[in-house]
Amino acid sequence: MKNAKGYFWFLVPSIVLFAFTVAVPFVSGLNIAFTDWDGISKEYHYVFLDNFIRMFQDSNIVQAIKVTLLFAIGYTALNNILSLFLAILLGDKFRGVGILKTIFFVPMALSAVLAAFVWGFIDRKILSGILGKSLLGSPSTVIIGIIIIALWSGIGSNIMIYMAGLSNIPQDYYEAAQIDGANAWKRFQYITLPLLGPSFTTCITLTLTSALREFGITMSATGGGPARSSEMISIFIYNNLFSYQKAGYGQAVALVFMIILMVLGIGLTRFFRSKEVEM
Amino acid sequence: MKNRTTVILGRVVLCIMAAIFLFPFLISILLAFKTKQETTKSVLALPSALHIENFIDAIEKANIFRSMANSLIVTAASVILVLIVASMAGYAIGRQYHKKGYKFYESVLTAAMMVPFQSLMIPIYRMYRGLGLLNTLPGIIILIAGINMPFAIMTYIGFVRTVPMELEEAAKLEGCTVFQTFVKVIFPILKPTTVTIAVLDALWAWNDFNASLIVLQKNAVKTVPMQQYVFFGEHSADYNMAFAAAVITMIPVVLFFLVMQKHIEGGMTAGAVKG
Repeated sequence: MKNAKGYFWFLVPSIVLFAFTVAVPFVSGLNIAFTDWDGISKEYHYVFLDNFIRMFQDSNIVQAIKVTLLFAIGYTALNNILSLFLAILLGDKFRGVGILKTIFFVPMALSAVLAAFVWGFIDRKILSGILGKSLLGSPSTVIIGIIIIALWSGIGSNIMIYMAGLSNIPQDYYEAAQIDGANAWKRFQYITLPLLGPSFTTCITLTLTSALREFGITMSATGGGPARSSEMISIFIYNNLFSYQKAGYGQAVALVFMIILMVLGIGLTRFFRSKEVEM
Repeated sequence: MKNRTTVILGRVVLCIMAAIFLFPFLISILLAFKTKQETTKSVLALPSALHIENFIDAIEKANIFRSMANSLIVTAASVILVLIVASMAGYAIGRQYHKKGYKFYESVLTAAMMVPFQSLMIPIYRMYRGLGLLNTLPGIIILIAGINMPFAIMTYIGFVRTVPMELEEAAKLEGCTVFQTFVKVIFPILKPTTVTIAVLDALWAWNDFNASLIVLQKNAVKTVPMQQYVFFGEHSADYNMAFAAAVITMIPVVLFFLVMQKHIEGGMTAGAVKG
């Protein structure tokens, strides 16, 4: 305990790095949100709550919220259903299962830019021939297209987490249920689903909160288009800085966005934790 | 144990899904070796010969080596920075966990992980412009390290708390300072965690899009994703060359992933995963 003071010095480098990259920008962001800064000039004026009031009158933001929610909910649902399904199938031991796993995991290695480029090509040159139109090129289907790219590039981590969760469920439970005459669906419903609780908490919360922040794939695939039909909140904020010259307003939106995300993240974790079953 | 037809059906579905997942890789390789004329005729047909002109073209026009060198510098430097800073902090917090101040700092870091980058984008741009850090490699290295640090510290704390105190006490009895104990005794013990963090952080840093898009706007400093973000937009007509460029940059990162797959799986399933 004599050395207790010595420990404090171990924190100093991390505090400096944290202050520089997160804390200081965070505080200065609070300031910017109350100004009319355009993102370019040195000067700005305080406009009190104008930016926040404007949010309620802005139809573009309603559109951005719709697009964000549509993508986030659609992606989270599909990702979790598909990754759980694949995790169950990949849980069996058979020849070639290692290679199959790798095939589902390896797109995680590629950047959002590469994923969007390759799928953009497939969409324009191959899928459009089958479907009659390009998914990414039409406002009514662009989100479906982005969900497909995001699933391809991001499903691996959820498969990994579900596989780890599944392997923790004792095999005897299934054997006992089988002796009692429970069919595959009943075993899934009464053993797998409840005992997979912690994995659901992690996967659903993480998928949803990261989907709400989605930026790179959409930016690379469509840039928010066509006609703003895929302009999610994150892209809306970016455009306010670099295209619309309304950085102050963009930052106000960013703050509200952050608060909603944090409340949602904490709320979801609490909700799922309360539903978990002790093993 | 299970119904045979269900098992076979499951395998078939798996193989179809795997084929869909593999398709983008196959199409990339195929297109990279085809000429423009062959692609216009039929996208999916095999090329008459392996055309390596696309690769030569891509290397000349896509600035591939410059951007790969930048990516390598950014990745290596930010990973090293994270490892040093986070292992020290994780050790101190893990050992002083009973103290309120340390626990408070941990909860601040946890909260920081939930802050979306979009909320920091505008102030960071403003701050970096003021400090002259826009379009500099040190600027992006520090930023990426700062963003990845909270996750690394959390992972270290979890591991440090499972390491018994005996070794450190022995080192202290021999007259080592806290710092010497850390370097000689603790850091080597932390190695498995260090490897996991290094692998995940390297992947995140190499593929970073959000931070790089704000900071790196000049060609001389662009990393691979930034270079390609512009390049794919400008050369949307010359698919074959663009795919050759894509394939060249896929090779190192896919190899890295395959070699490190066990560590990536371990890190992803260890509990806290970054979004």
